[in-house]
Amino acid sequence: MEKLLELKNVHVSFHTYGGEVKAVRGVSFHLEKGESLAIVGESGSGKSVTSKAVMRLLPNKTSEIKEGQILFEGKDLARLPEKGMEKIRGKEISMIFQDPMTSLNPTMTIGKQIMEGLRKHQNMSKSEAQERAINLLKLVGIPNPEIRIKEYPHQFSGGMRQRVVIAIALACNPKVLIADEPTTALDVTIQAQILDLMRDLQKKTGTAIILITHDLGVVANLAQRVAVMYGGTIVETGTVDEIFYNPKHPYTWGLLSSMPKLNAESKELLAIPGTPPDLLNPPKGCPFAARCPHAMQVCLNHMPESTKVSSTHQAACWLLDERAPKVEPPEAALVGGAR
Amino acid sequence: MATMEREKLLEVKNLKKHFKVDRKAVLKAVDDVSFDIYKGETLGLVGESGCGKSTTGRTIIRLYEATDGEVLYEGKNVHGKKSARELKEFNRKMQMIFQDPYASLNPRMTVKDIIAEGIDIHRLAKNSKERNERVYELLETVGLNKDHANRYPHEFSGGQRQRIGIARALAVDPDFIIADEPISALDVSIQAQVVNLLMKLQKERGLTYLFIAHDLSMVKHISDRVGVMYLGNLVELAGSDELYEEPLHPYTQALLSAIPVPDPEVERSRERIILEGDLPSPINPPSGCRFRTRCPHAMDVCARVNPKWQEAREGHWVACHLYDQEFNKEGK
Amino acid sequence: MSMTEKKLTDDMFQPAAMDPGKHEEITKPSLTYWQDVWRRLKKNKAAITGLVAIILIVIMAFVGPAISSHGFDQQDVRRTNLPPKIPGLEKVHFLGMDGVDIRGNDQYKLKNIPKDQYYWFGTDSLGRDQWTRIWKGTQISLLIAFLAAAGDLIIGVTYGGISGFFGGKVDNIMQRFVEILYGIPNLVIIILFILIFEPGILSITLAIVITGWIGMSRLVRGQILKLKGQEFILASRTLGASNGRLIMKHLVPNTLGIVIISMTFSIPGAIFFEAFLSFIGLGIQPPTASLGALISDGFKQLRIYPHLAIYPSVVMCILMVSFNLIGDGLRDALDPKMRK
Repeated sequence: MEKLLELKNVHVSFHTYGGEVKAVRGVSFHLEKGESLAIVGESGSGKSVTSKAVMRLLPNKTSEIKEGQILFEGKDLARLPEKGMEKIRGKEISMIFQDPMTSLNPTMTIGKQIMEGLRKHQNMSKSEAQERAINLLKLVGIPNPEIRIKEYPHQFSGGMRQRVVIAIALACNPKVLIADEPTTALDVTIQAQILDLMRDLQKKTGTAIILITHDLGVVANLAQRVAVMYGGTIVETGTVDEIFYNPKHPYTWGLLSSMPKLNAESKELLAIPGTPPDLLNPPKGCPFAARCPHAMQVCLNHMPESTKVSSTHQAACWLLDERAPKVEPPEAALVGGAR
Repeated sequence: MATMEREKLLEVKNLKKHFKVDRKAVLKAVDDVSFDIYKGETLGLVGESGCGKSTTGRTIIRLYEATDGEVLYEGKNVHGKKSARELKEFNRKMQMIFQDPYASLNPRMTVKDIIAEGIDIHRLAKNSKERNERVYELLETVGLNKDHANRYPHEFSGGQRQRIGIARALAVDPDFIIADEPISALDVSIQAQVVNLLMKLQKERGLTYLFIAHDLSMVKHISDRVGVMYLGNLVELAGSDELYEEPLHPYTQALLSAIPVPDPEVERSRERIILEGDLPSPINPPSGCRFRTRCPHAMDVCARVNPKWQEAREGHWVACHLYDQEFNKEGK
Repeated sequence: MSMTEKKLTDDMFQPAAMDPGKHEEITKPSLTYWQDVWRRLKKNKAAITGLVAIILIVIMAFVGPAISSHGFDQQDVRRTNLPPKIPGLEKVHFLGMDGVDIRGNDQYKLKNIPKDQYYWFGTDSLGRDQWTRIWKGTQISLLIAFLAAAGDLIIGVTYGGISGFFGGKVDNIMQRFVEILYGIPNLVIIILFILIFEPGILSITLAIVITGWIGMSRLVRGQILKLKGQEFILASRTLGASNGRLIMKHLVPNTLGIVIISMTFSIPGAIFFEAFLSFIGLGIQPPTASLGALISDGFKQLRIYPHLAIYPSVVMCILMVSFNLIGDGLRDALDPKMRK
C-alpha cells in the first residue's frame, strides 16, 4: 500500500496566558490511499489539533508546529509556505467540521459555495462548475439539486447541511478528507444517514478519510484502522478488529468498558477515575499513568515507547515490556467477538 | 414486570405545553403526553432534538407553566396556584440536574455557595458551621472533598462540575430528580463516572429518576423503563429490556437500529433501517400520526386518525395503528 | 532508547501505589474572578498606562490648584495673556516655558513682573492663572463625567434590569418608551433642557444623563435576557429562589462586567459632551471653568496666544485616550471567552 500522508513525530504547542500548552506531543501515523483511519480520543486529547495541523489551520500567532514532519506525497506540509498550502487545502486535502450550522456561509447560496472551490482550483467555467455542483448534490443524496442549488443554508435542515458540507469538501476530488466529528451535532437517525453516505462515497470516489471522533460506535461503523489518542500522544494504533477485539493499552480498555453495551446485562460501568492530564504541565511519564489501574513505578517517570504487537498493531505501554507483570484486560472491555 | 403493585410517585396526565411563536403559529413542544413514574425506579425518556423531552422535564418541575393537563406528585397537583409554603415544600421534593456543566453553575459563586444555595433558601442549617459541614458532606458524597469548597466553577473539569450540580440538587434531600441530559456534554470515560454516581445515589437514598437523554445505550443502562418521544408525542413506553429487544413502534425500531455499536463485526453485518428525510417542523406537524411522513409502514389511516395510546402488551404501551385491532385488518 | 534502557531496573515494574484522592486534585492556585481579571489587566500595558495617567490627572486635579499661589478666579488686568514660564525650564528656550510669546517678546519683562513670579501655564485674557484654572476645570469636568456615569448606571441598570427580568408585556411597554426617547435627537432635548434650567454642574449632568442611560439599559437588558435562560438560573429557580435572590445573587454579579466596561466608555463620552456644550455656549458659566470652557475660550485667541488652548486640550486628550485604553483593556480582561 502506498503511504499518502505520513506524520512523523509532530509536536504542536499553544502559547497562552498560563504558559505553553503542549497539545500534541510526538504524534506519528500514516494514511494509506483510499483507506479510512479513525483518530479516537476524548476532548483535549489532541485529536482535533493534529488534524488542524495537517491542514495548517491553527492560529498563527498563538500556536506553532514545534517539531516533526507532515509528509503529503513527499512534501512537508509543516514547512510549506502559506501560498503552497492554499493549493493543497480544499483541492488535495479537504476538511469537514462538526457543526454544519456554522461551517456554511449564511449569505451565499449553496451553489455558489460549492462552485467557489471548483472555479478557484480547477479553473472551470461557470456553467461547467454549476453542472458539477448539481452532480455533487445528487451524489450526496439531496433531492431536486437543480432547485436547491439556488437556496441558502438556512433553508436546509441539519442533516442536509452536513450533506452540503460534504459535497463542498468533495468538490475537487481530494485525495484526503478529514472529517472532524462529522456526526456529533446530529441526531442518531440522521447520523446513520450521514455515516452511510460517507461509506458509500468512499467506495465511489476512493478518497482516504481521517475520521476524528470520540464515539467508538462510529469508529466501528466506518473505520478500517484506528489510532487512540490520549494526553497529546497516540497510545495505540491498529486495525479496527485489533483495537476492539485485542486491545493492549489500559486506556483503550477503559474506553471500551466505560461504554454501556446494548446487548449486555445491566451492571456497573467500569469508569476511568479522574480527569485527563493538564497539558500545561504534562506528566513526565505515561500520560495515562495517573488514572491507570495497572500503573507501575516506571510509568510515572518514563514515557513508554511504541511497541509492536503485530505488523499493524502498536501500543505504547510499559505493560508490554517483558519485565512487566502480565495483566488481563477487564471483562467489560471485551467486545462481543472476543468472547 | 412487577410495576403494577408499586406505588406511583408521579402521574403525568395529558400534559401539553405549547409555545406561542408569533401571532398565528403555535409550537406544540409537548402534546398530550401521559405516563407514570413509580417510586424508586428510573424512567428514561429518549428522543431526538426537538422532540419535547426536555420541555416535558421542565414542565413537570414547573419551570414552564403547563398549557393543559396535569402533573400529580404523590397525588397532589404540581401546577396551579400555590402558596409560597406549598411551593417551597414541593421544591424540596423534586430537583433537577442540568445538561451543560459550564452553564449550570454560576461563575461568580464559590462551589460552597453554589451547593449551599438550597440550604440557604430553605434554611436547613442553623449556623455557618452546620452549613459548612453539610456542604463538605455533600462534596464527599459526590466524590470531591472540602478543599474544593472555596474554588470557583471554572477551575473544575466538566465531570467535576456535573458532580457539583448533583451535590446542589441533593442539598435539599429530594425524593425525585429529573436529570436533563446530564451526560451528553461529557466525555465517554467521564459519562460512566457520572452514571455510576447517579446509580449509587439511587441505591443509597432511594431516589426516583426521570432520566432524559438522546444516548439510547446509556438510557438503557440506567433505566428500568424507557419512553420514546417523537415530535411532542410519546410513541412507546416499556420496560427497558423489552423495549430494546422487541420494539413495537416503527420509530423505536429505526432509532435502535441507527445507534452505531462499538463492535466492528456487528457493524459490518448489520441491517439498518435508515429513515428517509428529516424531522418535520413541530410548528406545523403532519396530521394523524406524526411519524407517518418517515414511517416505512405508513397506511392511509395514519394520515387521518391520531393513533391511540394503548397497552399492546402488559406494561408495554405504544401509539401506533399497526397494533390497533380496529385499523390493522390487513395484518402485519 | 539505549540510554533509558540502562536506567530501567526490574523493581520499577512493581505496581505503583496511586492515591485515589489525587484524581480530583486541582493544582492551579484558586483565583477569584476579579483576581483573574486584574491579573489579565496587569498584562495589558496600554490599559495600565491609561490607568496611571488617570490617577495622576485625578491627583493633579485636586493638588494642582493648591500648589500654585494664584486663585482660579483671581483677576489681574496688568498681567493678562502671559505665556507660560516655569522655573528651571525657563532656561531651555525651545520648550516654550520661558515667558516669551510667539512673536519673541519676553512678556514678563515687558509687563514688569517680579523675577520670582511664575505663571506655569501662563495667564488668560483677564490675567487669571491658567495652571490653577486647568486643574480646577479638570475637577469640574471629571465631576460632571462621574456624576453622569453614575446617573447612567443607576437609571440604565434599573430600567434594563426590570425590562429584561420581567419580560413580556412589561418589557414591551418599556422598550417602546425607550424607542420614542431614542427617536428624538438628543441634542434638541439637551439644549431645551439647559435653556430651561440655568447652566450649571447639576443641570449639565442631568442633560447628559437624560438620554445617556439608554445605551446602558439596552446592554443590561440584553445581558439579563441571555442570563435568564441559563441553566444556573433555572437551577436556582427549581431550588425555590425568590426573585430578589435571583437578581442579587445571580443576575447582578454576572452583569457587573459589561456594566463596568460600559461605564469606562461613557465617562470620556460625558467629558466630551460637556466640552461640546461649553463650545456652543451652554456649558459651565464663568468664573467657574471646565476643560471644555477653557478650550473654548482659548480657541478664540488660538493664533495669538496658543498656550491658552493647547494645555487644556492636552489634558483632555490624555483623559479621553486613557479612559478608552482602560475600557478596551477591561473588555479584554472581562471577556469570559478568553478565560482559560
